[in-house]
Amino acid sequence: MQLIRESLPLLLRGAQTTMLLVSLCLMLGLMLGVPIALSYLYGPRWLRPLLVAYDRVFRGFPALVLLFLFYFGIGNLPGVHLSPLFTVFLALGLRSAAYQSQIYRGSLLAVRKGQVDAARSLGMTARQTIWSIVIPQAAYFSLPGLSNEYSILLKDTALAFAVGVMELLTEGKFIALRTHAILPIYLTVGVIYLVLTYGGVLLFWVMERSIRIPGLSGHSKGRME
Amino acid sequence: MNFKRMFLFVITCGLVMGMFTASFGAQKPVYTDGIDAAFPPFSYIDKNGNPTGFDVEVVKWIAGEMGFTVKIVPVDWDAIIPTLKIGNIDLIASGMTINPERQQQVDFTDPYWKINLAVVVREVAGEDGSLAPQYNVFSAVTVGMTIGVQRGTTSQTWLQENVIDKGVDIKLKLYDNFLFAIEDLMIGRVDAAVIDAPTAQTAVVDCDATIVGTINTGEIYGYAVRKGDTELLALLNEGLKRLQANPEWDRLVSEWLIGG
Repeated sequence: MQLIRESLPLLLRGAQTTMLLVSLCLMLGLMLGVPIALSYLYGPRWLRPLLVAYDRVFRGFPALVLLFLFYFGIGNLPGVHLSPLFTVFLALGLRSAAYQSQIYRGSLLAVRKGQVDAARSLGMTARQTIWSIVIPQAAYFSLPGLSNEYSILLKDTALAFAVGVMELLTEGKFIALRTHAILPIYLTVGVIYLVLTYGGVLLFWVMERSIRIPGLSGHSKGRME
Repeated sequence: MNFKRMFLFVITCGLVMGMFTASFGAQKPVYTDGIDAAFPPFSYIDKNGNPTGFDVEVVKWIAGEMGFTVKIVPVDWDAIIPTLKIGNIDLIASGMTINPERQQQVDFTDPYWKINLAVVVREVAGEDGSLAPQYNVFSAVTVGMTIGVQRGTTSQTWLQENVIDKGVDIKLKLYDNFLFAIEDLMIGRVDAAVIDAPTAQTAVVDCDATIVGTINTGEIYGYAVRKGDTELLALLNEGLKRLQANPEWDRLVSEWLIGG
């Protein structure tokens, strides 16, 4: 107990790095994932193969391979210098963009065609329809998927140690090795991950509740699982 | 179409990010020292989460003496030489044995310490209840035994070249960190563990394991810099020379390597 109390400041310092990484990666994923999904569905045809290639690479390669590709591959190109933290942000953020683009694609497709027809029949342009009718509804639909992406990404950031980022798991590992108290330290680390995961998931759930669209999201019993 | 504008925006974002990437950390007024953060007593993370150890303190002293700032970052031992090569760290000061394979990839400073390999085994209670080593150095490294070593260390290569390649059937179990090998030794998944003697001494302090013998390899430690980085190499060599002529050297040695 004493040991856990002593280690907590270090573990929380690691947790801070972990949370910083997760939020930055999620944001990069959002910034790129939305345009990717929109371009895939509504963009010019010639762009599709590129988007598919991006998707295949970033969803098909293991995260660790991506990390090494960026760190030792791209980071080794002349004139390029990637700090470890920035590498993890890039690799996992771009990867998350690929996953998130699928979430958004699904959400955009989930908007019922009647909605689009109704908007167009009211005289809205295609652009207005997408921005005012499709995207707000799709945003709502995408929240459960995003909450899932968050909880997976959170744990993927533990890979950051491979390139020398001191996140939660790494801090825990060094404490465990120094003190031989493997079980209590890793249990504490696990509990911190659990709290962060469900804290975040709860946040997404609250968001989902607060932007519920009356009449549309009829199945109000969508409890958090 | 307005989407064209959006694509332009995305592409611009990409370019800006690329430039950001290119300039990120390009200018370094400080030297970054990569360490194996679980390699006591040479380099490890202390109770407060700060890097410390003999090598860390030596490099800090040299930095103060020679007038540069040093930043210490933990790196996986496996990846430490590639990390040096791509320039994310500028030196490795972490109990690294100078050997020909590594000399092809990095430049070493003058040697500063000499070590042998130690064989660590579990202590078990004998009939009279007192603790005694489970094996001696010969019965520990022999046919049928499983030996834990840290991946990418001279312990691994020594056992491979001098035991396994000579036809003695032992199994090596590789770990990211030697301390994990000690944990596995305590659980009984390996019969013995082999590592640089000073590290072994530190590792067995608070567990029922003991050193039953050393393998006289007479390895020498040096600090590594990127090939061709003569500037930093000269700084480190001069700093080492000055430190070894200073009473502080004896103090560091007795604090970390002999006394502790």
